[in-house]
Amino acid sequence: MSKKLLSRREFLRIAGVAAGGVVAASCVPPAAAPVAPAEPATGAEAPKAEAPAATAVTLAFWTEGWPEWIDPKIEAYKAVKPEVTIDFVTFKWGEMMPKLLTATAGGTSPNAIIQDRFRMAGWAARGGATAIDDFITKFGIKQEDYIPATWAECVWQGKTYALPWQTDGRFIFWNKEIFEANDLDPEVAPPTEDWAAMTELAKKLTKTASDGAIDVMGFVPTQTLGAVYGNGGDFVYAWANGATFLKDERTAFMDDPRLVETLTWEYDVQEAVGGIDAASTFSSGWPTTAGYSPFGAGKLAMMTNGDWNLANFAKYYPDLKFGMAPWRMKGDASNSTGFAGGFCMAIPAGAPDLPESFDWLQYLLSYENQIDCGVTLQAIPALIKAANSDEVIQSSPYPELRKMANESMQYANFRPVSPAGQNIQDLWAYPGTGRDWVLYGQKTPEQACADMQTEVQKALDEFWASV
Amino acid sequence: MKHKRSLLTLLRGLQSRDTFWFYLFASPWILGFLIFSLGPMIASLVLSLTNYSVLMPTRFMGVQNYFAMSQDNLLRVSIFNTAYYALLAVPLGEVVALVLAMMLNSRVLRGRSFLRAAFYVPSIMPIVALSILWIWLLQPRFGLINTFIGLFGMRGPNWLGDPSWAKPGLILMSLLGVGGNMVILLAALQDVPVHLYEAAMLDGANGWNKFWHVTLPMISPAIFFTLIIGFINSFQVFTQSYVMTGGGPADSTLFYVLHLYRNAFEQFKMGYSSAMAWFLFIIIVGLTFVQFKLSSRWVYYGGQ
Amino acid sequence: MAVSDGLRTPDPRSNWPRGMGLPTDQAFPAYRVLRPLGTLLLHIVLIAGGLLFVFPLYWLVTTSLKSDAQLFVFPPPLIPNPFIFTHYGEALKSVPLLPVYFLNTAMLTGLNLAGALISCTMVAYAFARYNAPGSRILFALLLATMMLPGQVTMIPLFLVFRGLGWIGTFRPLWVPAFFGNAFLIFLLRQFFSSIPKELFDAARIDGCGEFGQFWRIMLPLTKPALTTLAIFQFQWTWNDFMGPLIYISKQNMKTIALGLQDFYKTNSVLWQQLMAASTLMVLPIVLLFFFLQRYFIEGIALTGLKG
Repeated sequence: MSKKLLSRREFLRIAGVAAGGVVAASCVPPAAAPVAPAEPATGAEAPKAEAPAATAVTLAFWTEGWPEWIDPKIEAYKAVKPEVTIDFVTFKWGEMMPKLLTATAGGTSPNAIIQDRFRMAGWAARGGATAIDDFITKFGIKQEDYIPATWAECVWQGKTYALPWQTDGRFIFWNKEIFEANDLDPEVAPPTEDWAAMTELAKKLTKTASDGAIDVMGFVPTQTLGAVYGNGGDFVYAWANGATFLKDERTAFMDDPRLVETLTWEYDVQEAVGGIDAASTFSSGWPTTAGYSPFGAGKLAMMTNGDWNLANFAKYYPDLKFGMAPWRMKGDASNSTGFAGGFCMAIPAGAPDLPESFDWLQYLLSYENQIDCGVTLQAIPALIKAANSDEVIQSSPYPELRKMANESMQYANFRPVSPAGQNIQDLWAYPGTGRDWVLYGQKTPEQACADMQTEVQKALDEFWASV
Repeated sequence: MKHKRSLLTLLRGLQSRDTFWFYLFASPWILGFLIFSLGPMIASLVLSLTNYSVLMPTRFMGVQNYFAMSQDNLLRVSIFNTAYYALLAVPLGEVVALVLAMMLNSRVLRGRSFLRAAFYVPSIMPIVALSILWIWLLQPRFGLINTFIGLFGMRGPNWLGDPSWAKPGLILMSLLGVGGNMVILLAALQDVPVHLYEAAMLDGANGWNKFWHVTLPMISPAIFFTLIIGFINSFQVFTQSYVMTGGGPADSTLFYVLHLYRNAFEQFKMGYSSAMAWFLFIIIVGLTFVQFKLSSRWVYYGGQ
Repeated sequence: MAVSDGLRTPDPRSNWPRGMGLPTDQAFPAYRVLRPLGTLLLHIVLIAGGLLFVFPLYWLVTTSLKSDAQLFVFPPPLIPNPFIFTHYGEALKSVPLLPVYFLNTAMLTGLNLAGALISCTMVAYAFARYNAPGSRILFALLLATMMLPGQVTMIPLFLVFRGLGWIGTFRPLWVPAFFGNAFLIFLLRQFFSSIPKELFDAARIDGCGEFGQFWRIMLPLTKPALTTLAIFQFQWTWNDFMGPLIYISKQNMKTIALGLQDFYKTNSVLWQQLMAASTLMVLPIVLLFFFLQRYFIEGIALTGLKG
């Protein structure tokens, strides 16, 4: 408290200087307000699960997409709970964050949200989300019914802050026609367990056009150049090599020799197919959106990418002949790793009408709606029974691949559940920084990993110092 | 003491005609400043001295955030990128806007309305809707821009894919947005009194002399305005890199405000980003002050 | 108002070129040859440049008319074949609230325009015309409000609006316009400052009050500047994204810039429909500019008043 008083006195002094003392007095309340934000609900005062009252309630529900899926659900929910009005508003991916943070600062958070799951720990650890364990018990929701990776990302320090909704996996895709043309067996998955062999294969499959630019690209493992060459691979390779990014909750492990090795390999593959110049010249011709895929157009032989491509291929490249398989552990062809991304549903801290909000979320997550999520959105439902149901599998344009993908999610890995999760994501997986230092030849893998270690450790230290 | 005296002068001044009318006409803004701007500005200054993160309890930190800025490697990169961008984009944009405005103001020009509208069009298009177009225009192999460069037998660069060309690529993009400045200068050219040209012609002045001794001084307030605003805005450049390059490749388009935004809204470091904002504020204030000081040498106000 | 009427007398030689120093001087020997050549060159340069500048709009419109097959060809074809106009109807079907978004945007734009025209002209007049104690400091503060990145004042400003009880309404998006905008005030102040003081002194002697001078001399004399203000304010409100993102939390209160996000569906984007809606969004500003720009050639000849 005394700290706060001090800052307020400090504030008055500065205000005096800034405004020449003339107007400061009239502005104290609005200016001082943000220093004392709305008190987030702490674990100790976790909400009591009570039966929803039958009085009229309006719930603000924010998402980053899927209006075409959610609108009908709102209609249907009206029949179940006529007294509840859902005030639904949707934004593009990534745009909801400033709004959510601003609203939270103003104590006007929405009742419920759909959140990218890897961000959940960052919010929960800082007190931005409501623990929902009581409701989970009350509604008889069982952790073991869900794909393990999806549930794990919703938990911070023993408390559950969200319910998993849907997920997506990462796999190696290969173009069977290109394989055939290069005298390779199109039915055999690339040797992902042998990194040196993958480098050779990438080189072999790369073809140059008459003007010296690349016509067909063999394989570029990283996401440095945007999503043209794939999505999520950087995490997959790190896991395939046994890296964990963190030693424990408080200690970063970005300078892990296995991460150095992973980056070195990514750089080697890129050099083998012609270097960063050639790779980026090729990729900048392909805007990263469904329907503009170089893989679909037969210009990219292999890629690590998400299972959502199945629906896109069926729509935009119905004649494409391709294979899809899990990425194997390094040096171990009998074991594989995977990457579960996806979204969860959560209740921001300080939101009113908790029982009604939770009831709405568990309605969206019912078995029927999980099936519908798999069928309509062609995503992988987080509920195992729904993910493996015939209805979902058979709804895919490629039922066998869909079955393989959904079943493999049982063993999929997930990003570090950490308040510094966003920092790791930024440095290791987002194009623009971190890993880019190596792939653009600015730093050695050792140096880059050491620098990433510094950044992530700094973020962790800052977090733990302020708890 | 000092404040008291200035308050007294103010009160005494109110009795004079000009002072009364000044404060009457300026009252909407003064009121708006007190309600909407002053509070948030001071609040952000106060927050810059805390570890404010919106979600967690806030603690007073003194100048620790400002000290932490000296340890921030990405911040150093972003300062370089931003200065690079501003120092190239503003002067280039000014010259292009001025040349366009003068050409479009020519009396002998046919289809003036259409041409003026054409040059203004890119300024009104939302960047977000056009990101794909830019990727295509700047594409190294088939892109329009490199195809054009190829006509002269040269090989164009890999614009947004090469760390040393990404900033020039964004500057090139910004040049298509000179419409705003062009309009301001065009409006200013209307206010150049015809009789000044007549007088100049009687003195036997040629085109260049008329431009240098009549046009330029007369529109200097508008040029001054576009320069000041240009620097203020380009030091806060954000949307292009946020939408198109995400700061890459290899941090080459990581601009100051993008770095600030990520700290604030992705890493919840609102206190730190407020300190960053005030550092930038001081830089821009200093730069603007210098520009105002220098302006007395070349800006000509007819009304004074 | 004898003074301002006198000003409006057309200058018989107003057809003379202004601004651009094309060689029109009779004394210049090669005048007869060079002038047509210069004119031709001017047109060539401007038409070529104009085509380049108008290309983004052309691309936007043609993309909205392309078939799926043509959309996903690279490099993209310049001319749609066939032309498909149905995307406009489909856009309405996939985002049924589109007309509501347009209405919301139009309403906000109208209010902002009115607010800016009233407040900015007055405040700029104050800064350009009067020397008062504190006016320089206030002007410095005015400029300073533009220099702090909005990203850090966003949350404090939100709290101000919450304190006023305006969250959930349109008010945060239009009321501030009635209190002036620093950029526009600075812009107008620059234009107002170049109007000769003698005009106002003469008017004062004629018994014209301060408001009269503002209304009858300053505003009519600076129509190009006022037009510029109108265009800028219109375009800002029309295209504003961050404001509506932060303050609008109901689907049916969205503006068009925010509503365009509705075309981003799961793992895909309805490109042609997005471009169709964007075309409809851009069109009003293009038309507005086209029609307003004629005020740029309505400059007032101040012959005989100065120099």
